[in-house]
Amino acid sequence: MSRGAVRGGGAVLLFLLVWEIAARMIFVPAVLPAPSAIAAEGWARWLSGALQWDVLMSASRLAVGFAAGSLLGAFLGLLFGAFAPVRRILEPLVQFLRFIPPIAWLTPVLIWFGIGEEGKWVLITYTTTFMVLLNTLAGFAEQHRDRMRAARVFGAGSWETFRHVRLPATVPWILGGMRIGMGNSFQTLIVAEMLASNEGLGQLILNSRLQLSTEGMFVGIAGIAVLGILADSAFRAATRRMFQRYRLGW
Amino acid sequence: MSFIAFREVGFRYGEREDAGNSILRGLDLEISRGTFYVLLGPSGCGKTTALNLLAGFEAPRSGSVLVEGRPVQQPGMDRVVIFQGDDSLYPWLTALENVEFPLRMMGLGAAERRSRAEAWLARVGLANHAAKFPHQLSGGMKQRIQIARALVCDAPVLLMDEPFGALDAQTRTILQDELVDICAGSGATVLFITHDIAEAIILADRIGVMRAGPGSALKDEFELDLPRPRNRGSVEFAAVYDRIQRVLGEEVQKVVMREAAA
Amino acid sequence: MSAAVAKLSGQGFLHHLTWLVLRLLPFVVMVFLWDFASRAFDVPVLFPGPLSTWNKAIQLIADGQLQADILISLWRITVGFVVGSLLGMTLGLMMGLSRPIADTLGPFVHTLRFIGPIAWISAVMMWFGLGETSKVILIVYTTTFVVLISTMIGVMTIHPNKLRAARVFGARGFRLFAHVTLPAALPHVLTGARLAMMNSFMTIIAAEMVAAREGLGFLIFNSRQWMEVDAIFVGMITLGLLGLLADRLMALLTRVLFRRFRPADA
Repeated sequence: MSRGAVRGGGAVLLFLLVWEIAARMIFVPAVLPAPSAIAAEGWARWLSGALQWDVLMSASRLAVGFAAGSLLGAFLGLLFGAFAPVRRILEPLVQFLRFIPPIAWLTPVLIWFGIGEEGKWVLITYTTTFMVLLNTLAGFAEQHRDRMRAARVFGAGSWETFRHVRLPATVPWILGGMRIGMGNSFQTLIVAEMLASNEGLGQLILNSRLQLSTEGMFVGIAGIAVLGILADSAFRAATRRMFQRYRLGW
Repeated sequence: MSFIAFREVGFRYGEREDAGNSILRGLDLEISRGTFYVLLGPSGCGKTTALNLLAGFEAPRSGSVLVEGRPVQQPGMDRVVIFQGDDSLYPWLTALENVEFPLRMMGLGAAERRSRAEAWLARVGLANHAAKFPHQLSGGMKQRIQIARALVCDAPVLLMDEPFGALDAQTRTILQDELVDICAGSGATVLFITHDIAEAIILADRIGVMRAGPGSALKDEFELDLPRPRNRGSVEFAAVYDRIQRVLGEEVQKVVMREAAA
Repeated sequence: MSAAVAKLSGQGFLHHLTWLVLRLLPFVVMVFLWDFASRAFDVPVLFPGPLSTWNKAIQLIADGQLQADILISLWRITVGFVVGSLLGMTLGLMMGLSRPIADTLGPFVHTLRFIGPIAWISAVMMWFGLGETSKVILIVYTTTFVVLISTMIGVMTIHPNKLRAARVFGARGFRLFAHVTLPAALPHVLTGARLAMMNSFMTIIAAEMVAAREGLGFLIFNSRQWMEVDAIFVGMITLGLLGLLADRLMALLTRVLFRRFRPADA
């Protein structure tokens, strides 16, 4: 094990220990429950089957929203990158929408898409799209002119240049945007589940507040964190393999 | 006792010694005071490592690097470095402020800093560009800033790591001639790294040629007593070039063979 | 000669005008689509068109409510943004300079990345009460990480020769930090701060879900309770415009104040 992993693991353990002691000695559980109490609550929920169900529902919403947002963001990014006028015309609109957070869209989405799964997907898709789109555009700004000229020297037309030179050069940027976008989609999960839902980790956090169950709230937070770290690790491992030649740096 | 001495110097990256990671092994090198010493060698032979050891950026694994008999401990104002490329310049400072930087670190007052820095900027021909930022200047001008920044320190030792490597041939020729003039007046001892034989002959009092790595050391030395200014087109120049080329060429050949085999 | 220049600049003017119109076109198209969709929607109250939204905005301005909401929200955003940026910069510098600190804090930063500010609302209310502190803390939370990561990358990617040269000239410890490390990392800090500005704007709604009585987030979230969708639209559009304005202002300020540090995107 690397020295960094030892330090990080040690820091996390120490943090949990201090938290445990502080929670037991100073705070009442409603204000700050001890990690052991949170773990016990989580275990109880696992045994009752409720936790698995929450995880499953949240994971499916994240998967759909993240996938759709990544595809849409990459598509728009490539479209903007390939056709400069399209970018110039549409960029102000994108910049404007960028500052309107998903939670602001809650009511319109509820009205337009109802209380089913679609609205939740739409909200997660929305936040993911921007990150992937902006990063893809940043990738296009980095293009090496001589690479494109070389392609033209060897007879590539504008479509071939795009397909064989500009698109591959953008791949690491799209994937980097997807990693950032994954963080956004997890952050938006709780917003999506404010949309009339009975299950999910975000809903667990919101519901626990109403029931004054601070332990339940922390189970939800920890659940999202664990799910996020697992998803990020899986994404890194998968892309590192699939896109080996791009030397992604993670 | 020589002014600068490398004694049995060994250096490698990583803890354990294996076939590939040894950079220098048993390097012995002496430079007497006031000498312009040029170190030549094939790429990857450890020239820059030798300079880094003398600068104090790295510590030798074995042997010792001495200046006036004392081992080098850390970087210092007595051994000023001119780096390859422009990464060592501070892009948020103007040309003048870059040259003032060492004086500021010495704790000099604003007026003295300014007048000394301006004098050196003028000396390297940048008097009219004092207020410009590095990104507004050409590669050759940026290296002139570095030269001014190094010489403003009045350091007894100057270390130059292929300072003209990234410049075009014409600019390089001009800067080589200027450097000869500047150094002749300063009395400084110089260690200059390059792989360009002509550059070495123009500048050097003494030339050391290094073996191909790994585990490199000095292969041969040449004393240059050609009168200055040296003429790149002269017969004597060509004769020296030919002698050095034969020694260096062998080493370059080794590198090429090894790369082809690997 | 001068005629040619006049002709050229005349073309330049026309050219700029054409592009301005083209860039405004998506907004116009959006307004028309919005109008069309709201008319087609079966319950008009739930989907007001541009005109009724405009009327609502006029009404909110006449009441003085929108101005008050804007001011209080901008104040919260500013305080949270400044505190969060300074905190993020400090932590980022520490993590960039010291491997042990980076290793120690890394897991926490990496974990919290997935937890949005809204998840912390109830905890923050319990710990910091219902006052301004809680609202500002949520904005600090989202600002800090962006600046932290950007600053850390900035410190880690300083070219070694910049530091080596300074050490040659005798700079150590604090002077090395103040004269080289900090200015060299500053472009990254500024880039991070500009991104963090966006986060601050996006978090204001979450922050004002904490027992607020005014503010743009309150306007948006409270109108939800009463299904006053026109007020929600007014809040959203105001937020988007203010964010865009703040972003441009920040870019401009960076260019003017930190000209010599030239961040990549300003």
